[in-house]
Amino acid sequence: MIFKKLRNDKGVTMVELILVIVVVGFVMAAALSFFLFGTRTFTLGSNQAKIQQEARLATTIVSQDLRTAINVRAEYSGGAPGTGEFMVERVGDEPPYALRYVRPSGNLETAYVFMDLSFDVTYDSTAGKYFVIFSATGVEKDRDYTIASTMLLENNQASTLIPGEDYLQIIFGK
Amino acid sequence: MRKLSNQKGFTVVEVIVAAVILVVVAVALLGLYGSNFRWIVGAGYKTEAIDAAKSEIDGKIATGTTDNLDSITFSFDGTIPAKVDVYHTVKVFGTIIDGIGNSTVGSEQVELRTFIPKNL
Repeated sequence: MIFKKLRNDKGVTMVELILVIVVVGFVMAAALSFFLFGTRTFTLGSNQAKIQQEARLATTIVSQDLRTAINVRAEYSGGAPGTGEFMVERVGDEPPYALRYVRPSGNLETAYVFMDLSFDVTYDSTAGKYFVIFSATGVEKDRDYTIASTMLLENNQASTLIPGEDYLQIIFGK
Repeated sequence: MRKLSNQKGFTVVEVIVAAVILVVVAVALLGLYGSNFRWIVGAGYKTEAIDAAKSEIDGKIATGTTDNLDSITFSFDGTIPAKVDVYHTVKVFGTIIDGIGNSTVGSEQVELRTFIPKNL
């Protein structure tokens, strides 16, 4: 039975063969375009998630620590944190910038990559309080994401902050 | 056994119809790819809105703006076995501060509410 089939000398006609190739070709082309679309969407999504995650982490770290700071000093560049002080610094002169966060122990440094990163200080004269405006912008291909946060320096006692200035680094103690 | 040795194949029309059905089903599922990306972007807008709302609350705290005078009551009505029943109520007065934030792009809106205890 099986042997008889295997020894069957009849082949397929040229028309049948071409038809099969054409149909398989169409199906494969459709499958490929699905696959490519899926890959593209995944890359776009993971890039977007990455810049969002970094901006979110940066604002969380900065706002949580800076909010309870007792003394804050902002500098354009070059300062180093003293004992017991934290430092948040924008690294680099041209984008992409990195945010460097130095703890008093000095052994934890974190860097995130941003196209724009700024610390700005405002002063509310009626309340007599300082605010730090922190904003981070990440760009990935044609997608961009900005997260901005304003923090009240509630416990701020001794500061060298000039409102309206763009600072590169902020050093603070708790 | 007889079915396996069936010599009849598929006609071209059957194969093409099967391929068309496959494409229709795949196109219907195509939307899932896009919605994943939209959800990620939407989560980003939400974070933006949360930070805007936090900024508003910080501004209100600084200027002493309050939205409502309120109190929170903590009740401890625990009954401890083999001991006298304990019943305590602690009332904390304070102010409620609301913050509403919007994303710059998209239509995400977040409302935050905080309670600050205050000695009256």
